[in-house]
Amino acid sequence: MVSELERLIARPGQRVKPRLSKLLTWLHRQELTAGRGIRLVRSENGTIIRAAIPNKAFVGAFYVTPVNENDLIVSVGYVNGIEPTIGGAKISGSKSGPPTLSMPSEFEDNRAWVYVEVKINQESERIDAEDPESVIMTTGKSAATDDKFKGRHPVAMILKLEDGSYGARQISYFSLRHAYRGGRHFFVPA
Amino acid sequence: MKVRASQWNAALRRAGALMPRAGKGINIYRSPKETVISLADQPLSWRHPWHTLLSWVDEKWQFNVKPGFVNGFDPVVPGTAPEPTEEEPKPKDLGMIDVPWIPMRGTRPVGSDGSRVPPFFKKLGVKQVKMPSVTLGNFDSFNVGDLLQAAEDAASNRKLVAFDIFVTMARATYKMEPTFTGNIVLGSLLEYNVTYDTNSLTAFGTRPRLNQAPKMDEPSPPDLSSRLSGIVGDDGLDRLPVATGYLLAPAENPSDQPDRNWTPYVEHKCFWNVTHQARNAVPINLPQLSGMAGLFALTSRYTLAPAATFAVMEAEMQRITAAVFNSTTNKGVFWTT
Repeated sequence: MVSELERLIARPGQRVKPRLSKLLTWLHRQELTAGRGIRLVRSENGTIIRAAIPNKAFVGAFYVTPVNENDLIVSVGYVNGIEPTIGGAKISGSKSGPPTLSMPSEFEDNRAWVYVEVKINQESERIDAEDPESVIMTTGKSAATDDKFKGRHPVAMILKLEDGSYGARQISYFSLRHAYRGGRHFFVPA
Repeated sequence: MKVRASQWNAALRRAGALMPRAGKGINIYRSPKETVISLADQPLSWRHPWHTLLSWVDEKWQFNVKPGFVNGFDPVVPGTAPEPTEEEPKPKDLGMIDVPWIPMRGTRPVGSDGSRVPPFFKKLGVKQVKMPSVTLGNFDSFNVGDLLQAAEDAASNRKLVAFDIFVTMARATYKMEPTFTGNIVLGSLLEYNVTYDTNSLTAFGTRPRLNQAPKMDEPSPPDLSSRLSGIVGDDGLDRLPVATGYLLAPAENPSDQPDRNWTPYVEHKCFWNVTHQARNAVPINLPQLSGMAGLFALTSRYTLAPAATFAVMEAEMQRITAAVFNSTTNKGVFWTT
């Protein structure tokens, strides 16, 4: 029994009336008020308590998930509205599932990266939307490329853990816009 | 109507059964007038990059920052290098991913020294003490009573301390050597040679660093005359504020230094991973003696008295020097990735 009410218990022959005002005060305190994330719906049948419980974590664009020791999958994201590909297949996949990206082969300080890589047309200095290889997903340990018309942007870091397994840390959460200015590639959230 | 004790007691038990109790994920706050029911913090809720927790761990205040990334790298945390070994005689500082808790070092007072108090803390009883302005000009005449009152207010104020967490990125700075030629015939008044200075990169490397300080200070740019005398005023570090940690003393019987009884608060200033780039483009020579000034200069050597020509040159040199210096910062920018 609630300790505050236990003190109000009456023995046979004891008066109840002096205890009644204390009970009413206690009852008044029990009146519910909605705090953060709570909604109360009152009716004659009772009070329904509704809670806005977040049911899953935020997942943004280009979300990288190691599926086993050899493969990664990347959730959908866009660069200038173009969906990247892995081995010619769009990262959103088909009915058979999303394409997988091979785990990086080289790590530095137990770190490697998943990049979205764009290739621009040398004349227009823009991404050629018709070329299926113009925006691809790739892995490596450096954002530098051997071709100035290719630019890389890290979307996740892959960590080699002490137990030999792999973990991923997300870097990009948004689709991107790309621009090529003065020989440099710029990526900004779309 | 007569109520029997047994009936009364049965009613009490029924009333007691109506009392809400907090289950998993629910907080209940009981006041004399009502009961507030709220969602507790979700331990598995998503933490944004740079999300900072300030907590009393191992008998000291420490903070944990969810690793954020600058140019794809997690910043290193200064002072976390492991002990040197034969295999690794010069161990490097660890990255944020490998450092769970970072001990808090120095703090600054808030409010009691006259500094601005955030409105949130004013509601919790922290006052901004009004400090009298004491300068060399009024040193003999300022009101001592005001100073004593401020000291008294500071002593009775609810204590609040703060510290800043920020990221620094090292980059090259420009080193500029101007030479005043004053060659009005050739139309060149000022020659300058711009080179890179990489001292900051040599000292701190290319990887971002997570720093803490009682207050993050940005170096203020020197004025034109200081720059002309060779002062660069650029320490080669770009700063990104991450968060400000606050510790609030209990209202009664506070300790002098923050201990477990103080309450932590964090004000976040950065919520996403970022990209950083410096300008990294040496400024090109600016056109000198252009427009009316150029025309004036070309004709003046024949038509104007020497004193008037000199005044034009002075003004033009001033303009060019200011324009050159203002375009020769290599200060970088951060933007959301």
